[in-house]
Order: sequence, then structure tokens, then C-alpha cells
Amino acid sequence: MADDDINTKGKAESRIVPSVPVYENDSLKPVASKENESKETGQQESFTSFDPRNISAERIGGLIFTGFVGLAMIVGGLALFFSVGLGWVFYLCLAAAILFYACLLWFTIFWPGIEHRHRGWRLSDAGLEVRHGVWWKHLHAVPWARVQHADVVQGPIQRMCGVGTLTVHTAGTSNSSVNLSGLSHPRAIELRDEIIRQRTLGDVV
Amino acid sequence: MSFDPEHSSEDEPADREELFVVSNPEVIDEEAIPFAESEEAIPIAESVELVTSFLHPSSLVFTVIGQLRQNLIPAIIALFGAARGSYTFVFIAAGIFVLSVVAATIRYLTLRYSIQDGELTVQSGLIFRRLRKVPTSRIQNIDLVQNVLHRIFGVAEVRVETASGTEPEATLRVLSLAQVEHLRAKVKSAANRNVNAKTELADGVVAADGAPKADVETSTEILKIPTYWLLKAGLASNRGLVMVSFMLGLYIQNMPDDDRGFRNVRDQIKGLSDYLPDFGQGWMLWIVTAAAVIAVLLLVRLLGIGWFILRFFGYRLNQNGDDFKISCGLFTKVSATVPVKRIQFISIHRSMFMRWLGLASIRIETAGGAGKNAEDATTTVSKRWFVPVVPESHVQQLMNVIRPGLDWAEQSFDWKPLAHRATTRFVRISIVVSIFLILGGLVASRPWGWVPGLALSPLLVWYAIKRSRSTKYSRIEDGVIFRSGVFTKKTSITFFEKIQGATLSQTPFDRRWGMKTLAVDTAAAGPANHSISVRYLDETFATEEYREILFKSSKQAAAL
Repeated sequence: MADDDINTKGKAESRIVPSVPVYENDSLKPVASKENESKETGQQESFTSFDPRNISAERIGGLIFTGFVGLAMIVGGLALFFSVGLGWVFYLCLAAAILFYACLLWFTIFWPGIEHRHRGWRLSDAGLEVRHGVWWKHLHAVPWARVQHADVVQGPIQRMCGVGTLTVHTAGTSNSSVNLSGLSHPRAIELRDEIIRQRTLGDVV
Repeated sequence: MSFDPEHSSEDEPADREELFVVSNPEVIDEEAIPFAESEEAIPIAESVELVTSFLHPSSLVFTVIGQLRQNLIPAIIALFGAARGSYTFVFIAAGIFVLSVVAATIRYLTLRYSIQDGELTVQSGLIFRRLRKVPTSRIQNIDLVQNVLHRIFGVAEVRVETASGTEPEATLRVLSLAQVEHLRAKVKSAANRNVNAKTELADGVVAADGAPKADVETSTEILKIPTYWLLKAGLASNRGLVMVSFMLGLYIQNMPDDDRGFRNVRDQIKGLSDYLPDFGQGWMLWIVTAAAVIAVLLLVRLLGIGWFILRFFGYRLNQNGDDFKISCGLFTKVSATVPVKRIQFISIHRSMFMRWLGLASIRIETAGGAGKNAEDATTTVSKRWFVPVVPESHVQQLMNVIRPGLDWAEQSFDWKPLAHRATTRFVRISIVVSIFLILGGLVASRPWGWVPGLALSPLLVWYAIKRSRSTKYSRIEDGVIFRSGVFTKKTSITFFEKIQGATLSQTPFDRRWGMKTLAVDTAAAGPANHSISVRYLDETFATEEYREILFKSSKQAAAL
């Protein structure tokens, strides 16, 4: 199912959000999906996943970070070598460091993919919904009229991969912004315009 | 006492210069109004315009006092230094004082405000000029604070609040009461005009001009709190506990390490040892300890009563058209306005003692002031303690007034409990905790360490059951209600048109138990200390409710 999503997303690049409200697409209608909502699988069906290129963007960012950690560890290892020399302390620390680094590396390479499978967004009658979280699952929703403003941000790595982050702000206090990082950049901009268009004017506070 | 430094520095020449300037602004103030009239080509007949005005001249004094209060600790250090014969700190303190006077003068001379084109304009600053424009329709409230000194001068500190950020949009420190009334009236008429203009636009019909709302003038008294309610509330509150523990901390801090205790107090205060025998041993010690405990408890209650009376003496809640107006205070008088429409969240708190006395307190939340750490007098009164104390019998009626159209019937709401396995889950957690307590106690002290843990475990289990049973959720026509709390019971309601977003979340543990957390976000700033985040709801039920809340709140928005 996830593959299917990704395939459509690859082409969706050039797809333009129709000028009619997005929820007119019957697959996105909340009514249609209401019955199978309660099941985890049901939830996944109606959500659009993010751009798969985001996985590589996340991976590159993670690898850069991991590289810095590696450098720091080498420096630490050298310091240890010069202070205690080659003894059992050094080998123990080395083993622990290698184990730790292997875990970190595994995590940086595979986690973005795992995370990607658990993330998704959709537009419905009621508003914008985003779900994320592998172990700790969250589902956020912002009603249309509550949108205060929306930004699209694109970092250097994201630019390389052609993805962007859409942030939707509300007047709320505990959860005042919803983050959609890893949409394809044109899609993020389309979505932002759509959200602003959908938003009815008025005093929301 | 805060006058002292002011007095001492008056004989410094630099200062006299500054004080000299004080007399000028009064002249400016009088001149300013005709000047501004001539300068701006706006017809004065327009009732919504407010010509450029200045602060009240006495604001100089208050700004300086405010600065001094902030610099109290350096001043004390300076005094100590002076007592030891070193005057460096005194000079520094004097320097700070002179600077603060200069700053106050500049502030007074440069700050001016006006209302034009439906905007409140506040202009200030000499080097960095700051011009702030607040649309009058966005002004949430205009609050007043008057301490004793303010009252002597017949002035008040004015805070203009909008829904944004942490700070009041504009603080005018200080205005004369006449100026305040003027400002209020202007803001009000400007806002009304705005509303009229909007409706005209909407209808496409030009309504007859000058149709002032009749309800603006009528002010109905909703609630007046007699002093004996405050007495009761003080008796029921734990406010004093904070102060007593503070004093206790101070005492322990200041005693030398190895001799804390009563005997030392007696020895330290000269002459006291002649009157008081040495209680240090035998049964006398127990009596004295018991007496001390009772005295402390009494002190806590007395301080609580004192706090309540100081803050809420002469409490009055009026409805003035679309606004609630609260005024109260014994020495520092606070008068706050809360627009009905801006209320995001209503919360009824009932602490254990309050329930015994049949009392409740109502808190409200409006937008703005989020993330503020130190709360000031107006926040305290208008939000945290909207209605500081009210007998249980009045609550229903009051709730229906605070939220027009609400049918508050707490007993008959359709309260939904937590997931039916929630109690089991809580009890299991409490059992695990008590096992850890027992083991930990055993590690800490060998033969009898397990006793406290074992003694505590039934209490923990009892608490777990109570906690599960007292947490309830309900959805009514207007909004969502959540109640929780074992000792202090809190019941909060928010309304669909105020809901900014909803969140459904699930932890790995939740997944095992088939539960979910449903949270609702509003623009409320949080002084009510109770947010609608219902944990341990049944999975399917939570999802349904989430859908329903989302649907209803977006529908409400469309109607808005």
C-alpha cells in the first residue's frame, strides 16, 4: 500500500491541486473514511504520504550529524589513547564506541524510512490533518477557519532534494503550529495557497 | 520607605536639574491638545477621534518608584556598604537613581497616545522611536490597576490588551481617571462604529447614522462578594502555606548549621530566656511541638484569609453591554474588563476544603498573555480568579450568565467515563509503584524499611481508583467539558468556535490497553491551570469524539 502511495506521489509532482476544494476528491472525504478510521490500517489508507525524496533529505542531514559525532569520537579516542595508552580500558571504550556508532549509523540510515511510513497528511471537509510518530502516534487537526498563517521553508539539503516544509500556524497555545516537513516543494506551495484560500475570513480569537 | 532614596538624592545637583524638568510637561500637556488639533486636519466633531494625549504628570513619580523597586537589592547592598564605611555602592546606587529619573522624564516627555482612524496609536522613545498602532476592534480589554499611591493622586495604571503575545499591547503608566474614562469611551465607540460599519457592509444597506447601542449604558450587577464569603474562602485556601513555608525556609537558612530549633531562638532573642523555661526535654517538648504545629496551621489559615481580603475586598462583577467588569481590592484596586465574546475557556475549581464549605471558584481564560511567568494584578483578578469564591448554589446561574445561551446543568450532563480498563491500569501502576517503594525502603534501611511502602500502598490504590472515577468527559451542544481531580476537582468547558485544533495521540502503552489521548487546543493562555487533554479514553470512542469535535468546530467557524 505504501509503495502504491509513493508511486502516485512521484508523478504527483506535476499534478496541480484542482481549483475546486480538495475535499471534493471523494477519496479524501471524511465521511467515506469514517468507518475504518478506528483501525490503524484504515487510517493509513486515507492519508497521503509525504514525498519519498524526503527520506534521502533526512538521511543526508542525519549522516552529516553522524559524521560530526564520528569526528568528535575520534578526537575523544585519541585523547584517551594518549592519556591511558593501549590497555584494556582503551579496548573496552573502543568496543563501546563502535557499538554505539553502529547503532547510530543504523538509525540514521533506516529511521527516516520507517518514520516516512508512519507519516501522512490529508485535507478534509473539516480541515487539515497530519499524523506522525512510530511509537508515540499523534494525529493533529486544524479546522480551516482557524489557520492564522502558513509558511513554506526550504533548507539547503531540502532544496537539494526538492522538498520543503509547510508550517501551518493557529492561535492555539499548546499546539499552535502543525508541521508538514517533507512535502515536495511545489506541492507545499500549492497546499499553502489552498489552505489560505479555504480559510474563511473572520475574527478567530 | 521607597521615598527614602528619592529624598536623599534630592540634594544632588544633577538630580535637581532633572526634577526641574518635571514642571515643564504640565505646560506641554495643556498646550498639546489645541496644538494637536490644529496640526491634524481631522474634524474634532468625529466622536471616535481622540487627540494626542500625554500621560498624567504624576507618572514621573510612579516610574521612578517602579525603577527603585526593581533596584531594591542593589540599594540594600549600598546601605550595608555605607554602614561599613564604604561609599562606592552608594555612589553606584545614586547613579542608578539619577539614570532612572532621567529615563522616567524622557519616557514621560515622549510617550503620547491617540485614537485615529480606528487605531490606538502609542508613540514613545527618544533615540529609538517606537510607534505602535492597535486597531481598536482588536483590543480585548482595558484594565486598570490602582495602588494606594495611585489612589492618592487620582490616577491609574492602564493596560491595553489584545489577543497577542505575552505582554499587554500597551501599558500607560499612569493616566488620570478622567483620561481613562475618555480612552475607554473612545475605544468603545470606535469598536461599535466598526461593528456598525461591518453590518452595513454585509447588508449592503446604509443604516441610519448614529444608532448607539442601548445596552452600552446599562450595567447590571451580576455578583457582589460579601466579606464573609472571602473569610470562608481564605479559610479553605492553602495560600498561606506558601508564605509560611517561605518564612520557614528563611528561618532555616539563617540559623547556623548545627543549632537549629526552638532553644536557639529563645537564646538568640535577648531577655526571652528569662521568661520562657527550657522546653528542650521530656513531655514538655511534645506539648510545645504540638502547639507550634497548631500555631503554624492557624497562621496558614490567617494568611489565606488576609490574602483573599486584600485582593478581593469589595468584589463586584458587573455586566456592561457585552463586557464583564470586575473591580476589587482593599489597597490596590483593580478594575478589569473582559469581553464576553473573548472568553475561551471556563473552569470551575473546587478544592477539598472548599467542597466541605460548599464553595467553588470560577476561572476563565481569554487569549493573550500566554507564556507569561510572573502574573500581575490584573491577570490574577480577571483570569485566574474571575470569581474567587461563590457558593455552590450560585454556580449554575453564574455559568449561564458568563456564557450566554449555555445551559449549565452539571449533574445531568452526559458524562463519559474513561476506558473501562483505565481503573485496572491505574491500580496496576500504583501496585508497581508501591513495590518499588517497598524495595527501595528495604535497600535504604534494613530491618523495617519496607513499612512505609506497605502502609502507603492502600492509599495509592485508593487514589488510583478515585482518579479513574473522577475523570470524566462530556460533549454538549456548545462545547467540550472535562472534569478531573481527586482532591481539587476541576471542571472545564471550552466552546467549539474557540477550538483551534484537536490532537489524538497514542503511546505504546496506550496501544496495549486500547486507549487514546484526546486533546483540544484553544487560544487560552493557561492561567486556569486545567487544559482539556483527556488521557486514557477508549480508543474507538476517542477517535469518534475527535472527528465530531473537528467537524463541529469547523462548522461553527463557517457560521462565524
